[in-house]
Amino acid sequence: MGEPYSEDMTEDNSGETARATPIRVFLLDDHEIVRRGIKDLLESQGDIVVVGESGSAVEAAARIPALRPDVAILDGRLPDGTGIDVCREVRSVDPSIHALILTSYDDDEALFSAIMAGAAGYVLKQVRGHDLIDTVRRVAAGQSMLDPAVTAQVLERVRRGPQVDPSIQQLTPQEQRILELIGEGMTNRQIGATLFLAEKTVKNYVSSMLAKLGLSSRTQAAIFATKHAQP
Amino acid sequence: MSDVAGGAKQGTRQPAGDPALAETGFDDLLREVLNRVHGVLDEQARWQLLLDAVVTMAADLSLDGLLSRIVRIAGDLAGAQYAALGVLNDGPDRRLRLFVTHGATEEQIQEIGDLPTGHGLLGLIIDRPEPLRLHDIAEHPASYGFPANHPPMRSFLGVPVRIRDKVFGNLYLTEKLGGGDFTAQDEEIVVALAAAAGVALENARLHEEAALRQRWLAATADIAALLSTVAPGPESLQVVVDRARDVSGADVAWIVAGADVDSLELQVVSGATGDPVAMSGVSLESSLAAHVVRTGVAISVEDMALDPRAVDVTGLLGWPAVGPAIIVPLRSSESMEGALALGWTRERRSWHLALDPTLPASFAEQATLALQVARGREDQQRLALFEDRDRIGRDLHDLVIQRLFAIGLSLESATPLADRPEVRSRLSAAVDDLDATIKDIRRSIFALSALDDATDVQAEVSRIVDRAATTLTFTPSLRFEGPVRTRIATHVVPDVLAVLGESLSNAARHAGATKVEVLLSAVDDVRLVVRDNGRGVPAVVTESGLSNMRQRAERLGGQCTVTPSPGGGTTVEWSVPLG
Repeated sequence: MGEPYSEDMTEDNSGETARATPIRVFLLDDHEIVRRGIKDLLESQGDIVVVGESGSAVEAAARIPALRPDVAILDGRLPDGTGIDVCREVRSVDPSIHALILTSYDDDEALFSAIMAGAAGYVLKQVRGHDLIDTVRRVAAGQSMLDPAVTAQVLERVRRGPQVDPSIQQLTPQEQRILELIGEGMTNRQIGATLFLAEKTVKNYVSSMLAKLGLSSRTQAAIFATKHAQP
Repeated sequence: MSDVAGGAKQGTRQPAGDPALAETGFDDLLREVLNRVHGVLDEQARWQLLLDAVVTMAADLSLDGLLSRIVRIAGDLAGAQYAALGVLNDGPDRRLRLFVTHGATEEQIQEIGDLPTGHGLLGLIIDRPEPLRLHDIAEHPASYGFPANHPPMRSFLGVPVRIRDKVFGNLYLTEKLGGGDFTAQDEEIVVALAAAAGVALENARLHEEAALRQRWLAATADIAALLSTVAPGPESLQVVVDRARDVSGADVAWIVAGADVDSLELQVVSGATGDPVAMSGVSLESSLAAHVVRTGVAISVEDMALDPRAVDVTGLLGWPAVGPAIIVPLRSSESMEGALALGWTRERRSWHLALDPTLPASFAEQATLALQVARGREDQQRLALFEDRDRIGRDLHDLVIQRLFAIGLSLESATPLADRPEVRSRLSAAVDDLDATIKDIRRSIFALSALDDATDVQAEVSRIVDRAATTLTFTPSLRFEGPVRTRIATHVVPDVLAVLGESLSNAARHAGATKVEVLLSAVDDVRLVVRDNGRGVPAVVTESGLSNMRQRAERLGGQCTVTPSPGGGTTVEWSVPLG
């Protein structure tokens, strides 16, 4: 039932993907069996080849720019970091590398992660529904799977916050500006250049914003609820 | 008593230096001296007697014991048949709060009725604290006579007793033994006794005060330990109120508390039976407790019933009638405001007078801190629970979903390898099942970490579906597709929830379904699908319900259809454009 969210997946799958060389993919996921499963699935197509894989965010951030894959498929959460940070780092070095965020959270979280990462889209960890192969082909061809209107919606939602505790969720004006530029798809380097900040500073900002808004927000909300519990 | 009037004969004087100057020894001494009272009492002996009296008085540290002892000694020293000590009120009206007598029998006291409060002649010495010696009470202009049944009294000697510079009370002596008047020497020696008595009283008072203070300090110190053994909530308040009543000697004690001053409620009571329903029904909007909560300052009142600011909780709830009371603030920095009240019956007002309100106030302060600590501990436990749920969610996410996903992927890639079509279709069905399981787990993760009061559409829909389980007697399946929290506009949410509620209640009431599927999707449009396997909903019901759902859809530019499901049952499909 129901196609997954993506505004432009209604066309015929095999349409415009004829290319001379196979699509080069890098896989980042800390579960080996997941990497194997995805690799088998992708390589069974013939026109996709997995050129590298890793279970570590740090390692991936170092290897991906060197390997220069067409598409990097990045698990959102890893033992030593987040796919979001890896994505931002890699694309700061080489904006021609397209990325997909792979996640087992739900669509809302995935969408948020993809936007914060500057990725071209996301793939939920479910076999059917999201056509991984088709998505990889489209992203390799330079398409973004994110609808700017939806991105704007997400950013708006982030700005409003989950309306739990203003003191926790409030973004500083600088963070607000950076969020805006992330929404425009800028890399850390580009944001740094725009706001006259060091790339590393931008990176730190992004990390702190993720902590404020991201997956940990529920626990923060719980802490808040506890603090304000009645006697 | 009668030994004074009759003049007992026996007794030997004990050596003055006896280390155990016991009361009996002292009384013997007294008697011996008084044996000679009919003649001229040896001045030397009287002064000796006074000195001994001073020593014994100083040894007596209980205020009540000391008062009656002073009265008796004064009567004996001056040779008066009746002696009394009137103790003044601390209040501005300066009347007598206590009247300790000696010489009158129980029956006489009974017959006289109410003890004097300090009018007439007694009042004269109160207003002008000077010794007063009279030949006949009745002749004095200030006297307004005795009550009926009062024993005859003529000669009179009144002497004020001071503690430092403040008049504590007055010694009243009447009916000089032998029928004469009180002499200047009598006056002199009673004045001397009064001076000594003042010192002794001061000592006793300080001692009692210190003992009381000590009791409160001990209670203040151990309340934290006491509270650490009970769960926060009414139980802990009960501990506080019981302890406070115990230490204060109050007849009734109670605690009023609430989130703020406008929501104060009687929480617990000690010394009376508290009916929770009746207690919560008492309006405390303009009570002394509310006043204390507002100002943060303790109040001491002489009579609750007479104070215009008070709500007479004791009267309303059938507790012992309280006169004097002390109310102290019981407030924590966050989320609780309240007051602790201590009340005494009018007969025991001296307990109230003896108590410095700062003592219960600091006890209450300490109790508040302890309550806060206890609450903090409970918060920590709650937080630990949340964190635990988060961890379970993470484990489901990090371990279970990954594996299922990986297995699904490998089945999917193995499917083309299968030669037989039925193997392929079975593999395909297994992949579908795995995907459905992954979605269920995702839903569980969401439920684990969602707060009970979360207001996003996903949480609300989940709640409605869970609630429907009770009327349906089974839990409907529920799936979400697409970023529903992001993409379903806030103004659409109430319609989604209303349509969902209507569809579920139709399925429960009319369809006799055994299975219901709910899908909320935010992919191409906002789409709510409720599908049941029941016998179909009666046309009448469908029409009214449908028209409502359709109106909601059309207002938002969408549509609503109710169609028979393939294989029986009904499918409600409601969709509106994404905002």
